[in-house]
Amino acid sequence: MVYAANPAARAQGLHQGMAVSTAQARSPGISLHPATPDDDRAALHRLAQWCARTLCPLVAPAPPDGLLLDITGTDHLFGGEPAMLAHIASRFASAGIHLRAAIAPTVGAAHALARFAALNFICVSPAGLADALAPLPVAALRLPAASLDILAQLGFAHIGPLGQTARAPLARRLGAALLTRLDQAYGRIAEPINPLPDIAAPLVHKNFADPVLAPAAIAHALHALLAQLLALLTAQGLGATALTLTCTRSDATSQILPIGISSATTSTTHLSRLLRACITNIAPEPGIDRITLHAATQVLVRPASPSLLAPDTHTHTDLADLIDIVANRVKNAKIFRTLPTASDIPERAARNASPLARITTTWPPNLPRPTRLLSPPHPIDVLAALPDQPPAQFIWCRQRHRIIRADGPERIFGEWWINACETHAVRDYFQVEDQTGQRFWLFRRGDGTNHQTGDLSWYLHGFFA
Amino acid sequence: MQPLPTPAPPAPSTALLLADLRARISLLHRAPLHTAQNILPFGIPALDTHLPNGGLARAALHEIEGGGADATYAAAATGFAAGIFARLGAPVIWCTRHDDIYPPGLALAGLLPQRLLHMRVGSDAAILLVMEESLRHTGVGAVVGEIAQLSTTASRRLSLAAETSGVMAWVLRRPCYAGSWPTAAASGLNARTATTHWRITPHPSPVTDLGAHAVGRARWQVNLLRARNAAPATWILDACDATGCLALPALLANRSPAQTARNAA
Repeated sequence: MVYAANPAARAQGLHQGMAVSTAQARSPGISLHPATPDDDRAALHRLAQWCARTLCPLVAPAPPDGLLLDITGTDHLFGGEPAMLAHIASRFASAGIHLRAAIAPTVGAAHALARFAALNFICVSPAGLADALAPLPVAALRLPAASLDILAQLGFAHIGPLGQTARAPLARRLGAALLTRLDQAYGRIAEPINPLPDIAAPLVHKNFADPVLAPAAIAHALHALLAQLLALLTAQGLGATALTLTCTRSDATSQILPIGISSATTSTTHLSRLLRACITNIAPEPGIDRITLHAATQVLVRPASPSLLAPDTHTHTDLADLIDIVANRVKNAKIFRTLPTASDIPERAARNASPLARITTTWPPNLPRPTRLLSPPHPIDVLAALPDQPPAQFIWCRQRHRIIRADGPERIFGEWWINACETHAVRDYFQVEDQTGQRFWLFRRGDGTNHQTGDLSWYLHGFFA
Repeated sequence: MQPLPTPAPPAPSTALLLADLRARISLLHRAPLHTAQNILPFGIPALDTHLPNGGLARAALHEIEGGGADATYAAAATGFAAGIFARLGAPVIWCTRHDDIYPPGLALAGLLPQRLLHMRVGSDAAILLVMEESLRHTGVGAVVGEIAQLSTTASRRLSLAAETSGVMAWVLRRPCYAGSWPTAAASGLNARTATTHWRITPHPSPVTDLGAHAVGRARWQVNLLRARNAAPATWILDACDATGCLALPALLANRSPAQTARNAA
């Protein structure tokens, strides 16, 4: 049986509920896919969540194919109801979703207009409601199939005449349900929607009967709030990526303390440690009336069981909580790993990366590299025979270093694809040892013959172990 | 009337007696017992027999500084420490306020970048704070902080944190930015609680087979300035190889270490 048909198929006369063999006989070239109602429901749910984040907070999925949005008080954000409808239409069109939508004063009318109106997009004011509903078929009233059959036998095709008929005989023939649906459509009785739970902002708060000053009391309240918040998060399969602690004081001022988290977590021990460290930053005077804890969240991808992780990822995830603690306790702490980068220029070969970066490569093991690097390199005075000989001695910080041993040159060319000035640049690096055994990394700008490659000035760039 | 003297229990062997005494003393100190698991040997008999328990204690604070002309940048001391961390096989936290550390050089001593996490902060006080937090983390192998001066209180705190978690703590002494060591009065504050205190000074390297002026494996003068339960000592050692291991120099430049070992045996 045909479960759903796209506009192209409908244009060929195919419709929902038709036998597949009939459909194939009528249009042999159609493509058939098995129906997946569960996936459809999940997709509708995701779409509802997207609407709740971007359009209006109260959204209810209306399976199998509808979404109900309570746009009360949000349409002005888009510039009025028609503008909001246009916005929704364009967003869905850009996502490739075929959409019919209606804005109406009642749920029943919106449902009917969105599905049975002549236009794909329609916006009805309260005054025009009766006129808009009148030409719609009675099927638009969300009635059971049996009632629709009886109405057809009675000769009611459209809603308009049905609304003008005496109510008592109708109720006797068709039951009170018909009248309820009619009244809901015309707005004579209220119809609340059942929106999705608020997914955007897990938030818990605690009000105090008396203003609180003592750190112990604050710590106790935070502990309880954290437990509540984590219960909320785990129920939705989310992890916290940041916490915001808001303390509202009795003089109506409030203090907002942000707590950063490097990777989404629901670990009670870790989060309570971060919160405990934060207590010292709370200025409670003249007393805290209300504490609010709000979490920015992300779907938890990381498996909770560490045994499933490979050993190298284990160390990374282990250090995530340490990184959070340090980043939150020490202002302006720079936490990073060094990422080996394919570059011959020493300054570019080691690039700072995120502390959670996965590093798998290292530097070539056969090139001598110092353990301490000066940036920028220090200019030095050198005595050396050009162009091939390593330096014989150099003066750095008014100290004369006589060179006993030297290796080099290691010639490093400029990277013209990064900086046009380096097109001809050359550095000749020497590893040298002075009379005390201290080892230095010196370089000369230029290859010693061609002046385009550098001005033959010498620099001290680092110290070897 | 005096009671009869009870017969003396059979005398246990001296080794057992000593082991028992050590265990009791470390209980008195509330220090962790230095068993084979939490000792990191150098792999050089001369050093390992000199140090109590046969190597460096993991759950302890160690201090290191550069000597001679290398005191300012402590490049040799950095290499010495990197070699030790390379042999630990666990993540290392390097806390510093300078930005002159160069990880490609550390990788040559076996400390690969995937095991190294840098934390750069603005003051010595912040370094101590970061070190203490990191030392509490049991997933870490070692924590090293580059500090100009260390008060007794601070070093005691670091020692306690290291003993509690079993993480190796290292303080790498770097002179102040002024380019000088702290004044004599300030250096009176210097730590006395570290388990070992090392000074690494570059030493002229020998002539290699490659030629009279070729640069071979570096050589260090390793001073053990102070150690708990061990006398100060000095060794001349070959610098770390690619796995972080030091070596005793061959007696003569023209002999291979294997030959030397044969001669000694």
